Amino acid sequence: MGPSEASLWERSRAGDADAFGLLFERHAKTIYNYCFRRLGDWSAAEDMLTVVFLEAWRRRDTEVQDDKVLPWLFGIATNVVRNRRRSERRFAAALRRMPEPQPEANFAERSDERLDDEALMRPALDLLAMLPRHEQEVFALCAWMELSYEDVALALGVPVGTVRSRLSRARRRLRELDPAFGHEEGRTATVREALRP
Amino acid sequence: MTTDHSVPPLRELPTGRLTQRAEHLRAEIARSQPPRVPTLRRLRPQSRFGRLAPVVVAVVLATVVATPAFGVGRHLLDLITGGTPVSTARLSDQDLRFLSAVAKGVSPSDVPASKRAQLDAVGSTGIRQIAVRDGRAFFVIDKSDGSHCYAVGDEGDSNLFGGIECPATSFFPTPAHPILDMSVVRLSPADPRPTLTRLEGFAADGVARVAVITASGQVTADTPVIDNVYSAQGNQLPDQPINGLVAFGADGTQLYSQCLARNAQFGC
Repeated sequence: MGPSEASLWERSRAGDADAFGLLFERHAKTIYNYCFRRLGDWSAAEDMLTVVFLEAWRRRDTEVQDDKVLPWLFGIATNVVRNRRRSERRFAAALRRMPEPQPEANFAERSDERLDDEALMRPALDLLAMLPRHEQEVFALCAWMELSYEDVALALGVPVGTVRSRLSRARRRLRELDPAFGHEEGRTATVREALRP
Repeated sequence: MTTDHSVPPLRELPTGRLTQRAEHLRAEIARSQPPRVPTLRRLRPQSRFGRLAPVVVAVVLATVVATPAFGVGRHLLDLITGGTPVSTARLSDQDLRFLSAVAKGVSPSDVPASKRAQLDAVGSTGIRQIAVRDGRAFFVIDKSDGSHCYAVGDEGDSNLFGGIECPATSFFPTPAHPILDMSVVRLSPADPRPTLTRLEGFAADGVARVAVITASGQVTADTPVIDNVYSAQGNQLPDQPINGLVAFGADGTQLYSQCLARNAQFGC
């Protein structure tokens, strides 16, 4: 068991890049998958992952409650995805310096898997895009990343009641837009669960 | 007809990419040293001279951790409390926008448009001018959460703030970081080692002097701390490249040193 989140964050705030690196390694997968689920593109999600953490480093003066670093990172990721072009511009030089990927042993298999993922994600994102932006964000965090209402509230900087009402409206609109949404036999239960009254 | 809108399972980053990205992130953080770059000087519109000086890049350097303090005096962490109140009406649009941006950790283009909202974003309870040295005015901005922002600018300029820092209270003033350096260095393609253009910054109670360590290891430009600030420029500064700064207490004890030239090929 490594150092606590709170301790790593305090050290990061004091300028300790190694502590921040540990936070990155701890949360990279989660944020990477969140970025993918918002963008539908694994490659873009990887770049956004870097941008999220560079932005988090830039904002490290922020006071974050103990053990709430991840929800705070979700908040940054949400802003980064929302303002993707601006975020990419801000960190363009850093992204250009990213080394080329090393070849993978089972590249073809993984590549097929990821193409399937992107194909699966596209219609879901198309439908979600019909909702107001703040409802999209609440839905993605609650339903697709399974964050608690409290953590979503912290990530988005809104009251818990607002999260509940936005999620409720999002579910209703999604059912209106596509009655089949969430009721089909899908690969995961997250959407179906999220739409459960 | 049913449509599959479920989401794919969580995936790991491709093999090797987590390590590669982590290394890249650490490298980018190191590149961005010092960690608290106020960048306001760089955000100001460039003068014609600035545009015509392609080989000179002015970079505001802030604090980089080097050596923890030794022999910290009892009063080292006394809060800076003096100075003359400054009305927020004296803040230019640019001052307010930049202060709001630095306080919130966002880009100046992201701050709210209204002055009222910008002031709210800063959470300022007062601004004090604590000193003027060598034509430079030093300000402390008190915030409602008990923390402070620190700013320095040309005395008499319509924009009060040339550089602004809003460090966490856990960062400055602390025994580990008893100075908040806001010096300006020059970098040139011919010699990537930094050369000081201006030495200035804020110091906690207990810091009596701040000096410069040159690339050859010489301690020079010994500058007194008066009213919690230090300032030196022109021929008071060494014309050779520098490695860092060092802060001393009144009894000559070295309290802190700071690297300003972190580089694999040279510096500290």
